[in-house]
Amino acid sequence: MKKIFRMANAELSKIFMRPSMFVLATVLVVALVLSFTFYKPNPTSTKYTYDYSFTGQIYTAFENDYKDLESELLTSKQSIDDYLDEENDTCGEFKEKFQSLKTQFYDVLYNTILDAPKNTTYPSEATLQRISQEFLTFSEKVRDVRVLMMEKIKDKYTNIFIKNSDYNDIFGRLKSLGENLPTQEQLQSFTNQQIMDRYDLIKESYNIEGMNIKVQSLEKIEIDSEKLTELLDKYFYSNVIIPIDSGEITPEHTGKLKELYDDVINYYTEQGSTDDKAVVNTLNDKIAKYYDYITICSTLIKNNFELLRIGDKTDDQIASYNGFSGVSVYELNNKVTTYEYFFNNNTFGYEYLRAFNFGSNSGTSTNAYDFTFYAMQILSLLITIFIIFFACGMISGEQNAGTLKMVATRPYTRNKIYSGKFLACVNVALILLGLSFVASFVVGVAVFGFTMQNVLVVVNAKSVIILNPLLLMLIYILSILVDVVFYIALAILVSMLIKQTTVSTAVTSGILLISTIIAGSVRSSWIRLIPSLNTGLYKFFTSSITGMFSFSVVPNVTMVFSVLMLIISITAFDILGRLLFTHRSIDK
Amino acid sequence: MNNVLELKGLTKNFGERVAVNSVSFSIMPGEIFGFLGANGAGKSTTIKMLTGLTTITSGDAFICGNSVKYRFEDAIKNVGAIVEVPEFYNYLTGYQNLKYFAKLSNIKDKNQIDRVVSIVGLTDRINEKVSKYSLGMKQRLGVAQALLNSPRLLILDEPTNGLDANGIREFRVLLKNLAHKEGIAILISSHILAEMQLLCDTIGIIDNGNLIEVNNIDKIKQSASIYGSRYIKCNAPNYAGRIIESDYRIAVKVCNNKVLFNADDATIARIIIKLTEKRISVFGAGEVDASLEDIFLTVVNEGKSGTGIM
Repeated sequence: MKKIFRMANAELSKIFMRPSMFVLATVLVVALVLSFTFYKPNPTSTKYTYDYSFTGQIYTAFENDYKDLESELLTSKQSIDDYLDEENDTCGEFKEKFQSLKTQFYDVLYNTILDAPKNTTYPSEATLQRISQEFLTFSEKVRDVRVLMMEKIKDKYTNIFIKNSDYNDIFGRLKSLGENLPTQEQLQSFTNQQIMDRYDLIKESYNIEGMNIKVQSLEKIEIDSEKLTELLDKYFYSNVIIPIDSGEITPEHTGKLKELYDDVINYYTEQGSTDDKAVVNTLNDKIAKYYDYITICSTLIKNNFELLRIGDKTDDQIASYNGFSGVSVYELNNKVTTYEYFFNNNTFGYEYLRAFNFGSNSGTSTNAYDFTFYAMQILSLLITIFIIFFACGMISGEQNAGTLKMVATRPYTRNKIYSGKFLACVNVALILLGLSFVASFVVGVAVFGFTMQNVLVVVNAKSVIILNPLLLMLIYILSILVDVVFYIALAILVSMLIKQTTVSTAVTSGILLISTIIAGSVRSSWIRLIPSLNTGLYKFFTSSITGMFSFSVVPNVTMVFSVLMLIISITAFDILGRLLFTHRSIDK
Repeated sequence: MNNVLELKGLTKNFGERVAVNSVSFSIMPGEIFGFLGANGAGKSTTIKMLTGLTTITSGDAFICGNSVKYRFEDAIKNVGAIVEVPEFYNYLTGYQNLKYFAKLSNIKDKNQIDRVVSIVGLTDRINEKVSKYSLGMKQRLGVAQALLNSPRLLILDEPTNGLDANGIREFRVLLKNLAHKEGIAILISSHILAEMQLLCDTIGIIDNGNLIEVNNIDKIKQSASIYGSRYIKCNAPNYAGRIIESDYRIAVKVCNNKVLFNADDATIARIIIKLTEKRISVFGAGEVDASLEDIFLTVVNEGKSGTGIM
């Protein structure tokens, strides 16, 4: 064991004297300077304030606006009401209408056509009349179904699971079908045989039976209505009383919402119209609290409803369904957990820094905290690539240069050499990350100042913790260190297989960059089996996820899964690399 | 166990090909052992097995009693090695390089580095970057790093490649010093026979993976002269040999283009006249000082045909 540390120590001093280390140092300094030169974060203040100087103006504006905000709450509630309304069963209606359409075609119309006497070439006037009528009825049913699809299903919050592809297919075919039915004029010139032929042609080309089977097998979105009523009760009915036949929120509020509303009114009444800055700010604060509360409640209703609708389907399954595009269960849960916290603790977003806001402010104004994360993103990528380069060169590179044999003829087993060099790389990473972090933070404080505001962090989308921002930064650095260890293990393994340092560095860095691209653009859940896509553990500690390089959470991944994947893959790379190294001859 | 190094049936197979076939020999303290062989004979492979650069297929080697196969670290800590051209970290100075190796061997004595530097005579250039070193300096630095841990055995594989005559001579003086003054055993492999002749106490000849001859160098030379201390160099040595054997009843040995035998000056004069009469061109005559080259070629050729010089 001591020998491994000794080797690591010797390697460490050696690495820091390499010319490429000086290149790296320069690159890092330049990158840091460029980042604060070009750092223009987007303000993300979510505080709802009015920019007037007189309280009177503010109050008037508030009076005009508050109904609109409250209607947001109403709309979210309405979508649940629609679902609960038993008469509002789009799924059932769709299936029924389609079944009727099918019956009309296969039974009624068919029988009517068959009715035509066999001994004549042309149908009789009466028969023709009946046939025309049935075709017309059929055409109407087709149109009905299409209208239903357009008005009640397309991109709506329906209670039916239908894939976008299926929807388009059925809709398109029905459209074509409607256009290709024979008109009354056409029918008049047909013989019996021609009518039958035409019927058969339609039957074959459109496969209405097949479509119907598909439609009847569509899944209904089943939600426990108890859960829905609970939802409404907690976030809506506790605040609002609506007269039975009106669609409006009247001043007969109750609960928390009323308290907040009254607070605004009473304060204004007390203070009157003034331009006293302190009063203006306080009034704005109170108004903001009112609006915040509405936002919290409506967000919770909407997102919880969405989660209930999704059920246990995975992200990639859900994405193909009508009405669900671009959804991420992880992010929904994240939002719900965050807003639950606000709801239960009588607080709101801008009172906390948001975790890991790259490229935008986490709070209401730029902070050293924001800048540090922004700069560290860039610096840690550069450091990782250089560490990959050092790792690739450590064994295979030295073998090519002939210096490895000088080490191998010393009292160290191959395993100890491997471990010592690995450890040295990790230490280099630690030192570089630490220095970069301190430098970024110092620059951040110097240029932007630093307020010690707490950060709201949602862990794994399930629990909220309020952290000291410095502690969060520590979590971030540790998470990057884990990633670097992953890439060191991978780099050494790759260098065992590809002997030239430049090529193995390129390959390993390529894997790193491609993984980043995949994580950002591919939404299928199988990608979580790719080990390198489980890096970036800090993303399980966020409450919002944006950034310069993509940090989307891979679908269907939990923190435990990612940690396991990383442990397994690092171990595998290490074992394989060692095996290759201990059995090879060291000669040029 | 007095032997510093002992090989017992050391074998290396690369797939089907047997590169080193059950080689056994031993070296005593202070002994300079020359490992001789053509290119590809198996010298480097044997040395790489001893120094852990390649795995041992079968057999074993013992350094100061420690098995290389099973107790590598204990075995190798008594060894200082230079395998082919010693390479260093070009961006470091000679001193920094040595410091790195000293750290690995846990050498805490600061003077040790200065000591080995002065032994190899690099004191005035030691603080320059290795990228500026000549090949000769690198070789010397190589010896320095090999001496760092005060080894009992030095293993050198083709260490004089690329050196000029002066460099080779200096190297030879250094090695002789180390062996005879400090009692360090040295295993040195080379295909430069002239050098080996001047340096080594014992010679081991390896050909096609087989160790076909191991002996003290004086004995080898002596054996070459068993057949005679005189020689005649001519264009038809076998024919000349038969004439000498039949007409003068002297046993001869043909070695290269020389006929070796024992005779006094008068007899030599008569033999030369006789050969000339028989139309044999005589190029020279004199005392035998069999060069190692002659011996080597003979041994190797006879090794191929199954007879030995002894």
